[in-house]
Amino acid sequence: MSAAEKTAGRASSTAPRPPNRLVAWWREKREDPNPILVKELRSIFRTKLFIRFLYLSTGLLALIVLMFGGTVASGSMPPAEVGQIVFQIFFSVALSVLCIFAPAHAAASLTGEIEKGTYESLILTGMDPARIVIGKFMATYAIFALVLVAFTPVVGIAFLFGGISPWNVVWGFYGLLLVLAPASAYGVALSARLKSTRVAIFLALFTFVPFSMMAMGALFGFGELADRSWNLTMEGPFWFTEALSTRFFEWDTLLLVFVLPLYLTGMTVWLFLASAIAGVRPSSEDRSTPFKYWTLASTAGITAILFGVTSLVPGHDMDEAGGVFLIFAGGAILFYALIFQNEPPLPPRVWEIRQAERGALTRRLMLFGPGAAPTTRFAAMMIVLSSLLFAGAIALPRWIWFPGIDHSLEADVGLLIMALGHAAVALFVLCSGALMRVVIRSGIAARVLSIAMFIGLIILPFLATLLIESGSMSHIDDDPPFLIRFTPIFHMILAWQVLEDHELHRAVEIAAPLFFYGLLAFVCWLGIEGRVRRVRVLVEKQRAEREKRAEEQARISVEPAGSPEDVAAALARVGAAAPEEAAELAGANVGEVVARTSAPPAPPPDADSETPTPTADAETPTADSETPNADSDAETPAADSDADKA
Amino acid sequence: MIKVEGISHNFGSMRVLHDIWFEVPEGEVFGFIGPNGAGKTTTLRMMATLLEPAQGRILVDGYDVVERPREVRKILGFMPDDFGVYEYVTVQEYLDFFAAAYAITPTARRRTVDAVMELTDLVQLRDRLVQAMSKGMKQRLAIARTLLHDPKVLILDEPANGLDPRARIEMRDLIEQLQQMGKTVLLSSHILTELSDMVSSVAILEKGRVLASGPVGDIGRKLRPDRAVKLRLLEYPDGCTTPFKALPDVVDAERGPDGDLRIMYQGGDETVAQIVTAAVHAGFSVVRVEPERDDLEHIFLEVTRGELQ
Repeated sequence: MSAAEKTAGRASSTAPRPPNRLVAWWREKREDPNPILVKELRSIFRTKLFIRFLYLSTGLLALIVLMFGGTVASGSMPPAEVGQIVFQIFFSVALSVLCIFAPAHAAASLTGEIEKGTYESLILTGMDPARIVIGKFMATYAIFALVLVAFTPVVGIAFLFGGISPWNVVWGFYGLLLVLAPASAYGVALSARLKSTRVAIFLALFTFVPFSMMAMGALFGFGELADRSWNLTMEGPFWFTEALSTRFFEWDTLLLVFVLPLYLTGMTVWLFLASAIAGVRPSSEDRSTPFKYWTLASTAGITAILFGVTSLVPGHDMDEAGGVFLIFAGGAILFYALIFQNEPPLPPRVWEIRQAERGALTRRLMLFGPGAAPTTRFAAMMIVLSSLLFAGAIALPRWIWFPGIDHSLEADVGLLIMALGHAAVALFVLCSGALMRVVIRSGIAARVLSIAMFIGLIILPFLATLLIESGSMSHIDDDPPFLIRFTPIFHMILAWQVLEDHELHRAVEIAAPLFFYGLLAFVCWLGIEGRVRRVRVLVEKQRAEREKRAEEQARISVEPAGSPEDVAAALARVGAAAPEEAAELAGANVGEVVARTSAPPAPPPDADSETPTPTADAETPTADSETPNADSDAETPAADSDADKA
Repeated sequence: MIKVEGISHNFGSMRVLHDIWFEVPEGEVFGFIGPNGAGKTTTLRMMATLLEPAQGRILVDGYDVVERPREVRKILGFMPDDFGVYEYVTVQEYLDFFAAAYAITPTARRRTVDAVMELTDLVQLRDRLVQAMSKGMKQRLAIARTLLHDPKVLILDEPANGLDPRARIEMRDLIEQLQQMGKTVLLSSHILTELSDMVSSVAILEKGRVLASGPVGDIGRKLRPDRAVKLRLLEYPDGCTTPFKALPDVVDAERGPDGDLRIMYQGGDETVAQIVTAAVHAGFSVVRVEPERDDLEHIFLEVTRGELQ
């Protein structure tokens, strides 16, 4: 091999390869990070209030931990237990700080822009609303992650007593960082929907704090269950740090304590951010599509989780557990109905124009695109699909792991009844809410009415039955009273009977509520489609009128060409005024105008051509007939301008 | 460049704009005049895609602001009346932030920010915190921000509001400079002296209606077909108005309250030249010739006929 060949070979082998997409994306993000994030971080580190907050909160946390730790340590408790208690106190206080301050800070992020008068400038840059929202979210997340970093030395107190490992601390911070994400996203979502910072902060505090307290209570409960199943030694809300430290690779731990919380947090954050993006996006643009993507991912995720969690249940408990899981999954199906019932009648004009410019496939997606009718179609499809998928995901593990188990048919029928019932009720909620939205033209009012109607449909049949025949409530399972059969929860009662008591013959009773809610949903759906069509016709008519007016105005504003005599003669010829009157109006010589109008019109210079001149149009009513396709051209701009000149 | 076609708007049950029509020609400095509450800001916000008209449409460079807001935002810079600024960033960081928001690439960003600071005379203040800037400086910063993406159209709502005389002069110079760069500038104000030296065309708005629009001279001529020129002579002999009355285009000539000759005429500058020539031929010593201008204040008062709130 020659030296030149060797050099060429080396050169080709060392030539830089183009970076893959991920590397290129990371490089771009590193070199050009989200400007909102950069600006927010710069601003916050220059405010004295934040620095003071950092000092004070860390000091206060250390004081609380020392105070409680000292009190506990002064007793007869073994040091290892004291260490665990100090650990729990540290993380509980840190969690409280996050749950209080992170949503409140995020709640002021966009409303603060509105109140400072910078919001409109930001919107006018054309920056994607998603980028704005993600920037705000990341800024809050980064700021409070930094607060956690400042808290870190305090956890060292727990190590003085022992009983915890560094992995416990790592998983503890993992838990805090996980909670911080929905806390920040929730605040941003509120901020995007409200105008006042005070109201946003107030709402963030008074909704997220009670919710997080309830979540912490549930965490205690799950801790008890985990303690019984996995023999954990750590007590308190941060029990999961021990589970993750000691049995991370056990697949029940991995699924229930790692994957499931991660998925739920991810979906919650996605939902809040989608809501915030919809809030920032102007009403003239598509707001529902981000929720549609979320629904697709949510359905896939819940299906996978239902399959995984049901697989963990022992065979003899699978029927009941499956029924309980599907009842909870029904909440998600109902939630889909509530999300998509708030669409305006027509898709945004901007969106329609953009779609029209795209490919045929994209245009076909308009069937499920924004607007009341397409969104109702999409949501109805998702409701039916998710109902069946969820039921299937619960039944499948039984078929796979325990194929010969008793009463499998009853279990399947019970799940099917519940899935159909969920679908019918959710379709009714969706269609009735969407119809109210397009009729009363207020999203909030329609949603409140829809929820009130749903709650009323649950409660009122029970109340009425109690009033009419109170005794019948005692045998509600075996022989439900007539009115109870029409409550939106009857299908669950019935499914439970088939699942639990194996009363397969009662499966036909689902027909009544299914028909009732299905029919109502269908009628509402017809109402939506009809209403939307009427609105579209009206809007098209208004648009045409507006364009006509604009053309007329443009015609008026164009000054007539030629001398006053020309103008007057033209006016006289088209019969707008008598020659004398026209001459006076145009300030022209009367004699000349009269002479011109009495003389036969001069033939147009291009009279032989196919296109008649404006004069020919104006003067000879039959001139149009000489023009090929005269009728079809009547509305073209050229024809309009001819008419203008005439 | 901007066409406003029959827009109307309501706030609740109150109609704030009634069928507004006017046009802003390309490359002009256009004044949007009206008293407080006339509907100027509402109209400007509609042009800037921040508000949808209830009826009618607005086209900016041919793009409908409702149907093509993204395209409109790319060619339009808007400075609202009550604009805010981020307090805890420096001038350079502020402009860099907006340049990034306009999706200007990092390499071009530095250059753009420097150029805009140069144009708006903010180079000396590049490291100053926005918090520590005066109102006039902030106003310049806000204009600098609107120029980052090199828009064809600038809409400035009350740009000289609250500025001291020096800052106003600087603002006027900046606007002249922008016009020379070929930008179409739409200014709104209720203070006529602010606009009188800058604008070539106006739209006069009152109670949500356009009372007049077009070039200042055209509106003036429509309002007063007879124009006037004031002549100051060294001496005023008896019958000094006679030589002028004899001229074909002169409608009238009289001594004004200040003693000067006030000659009403029809036509353009050539008639003024004839008047001066007649004065010289008559042997008058002419000290000063002052054609009465179609000043905005006069036009505004004529158009609104004292109906101001």
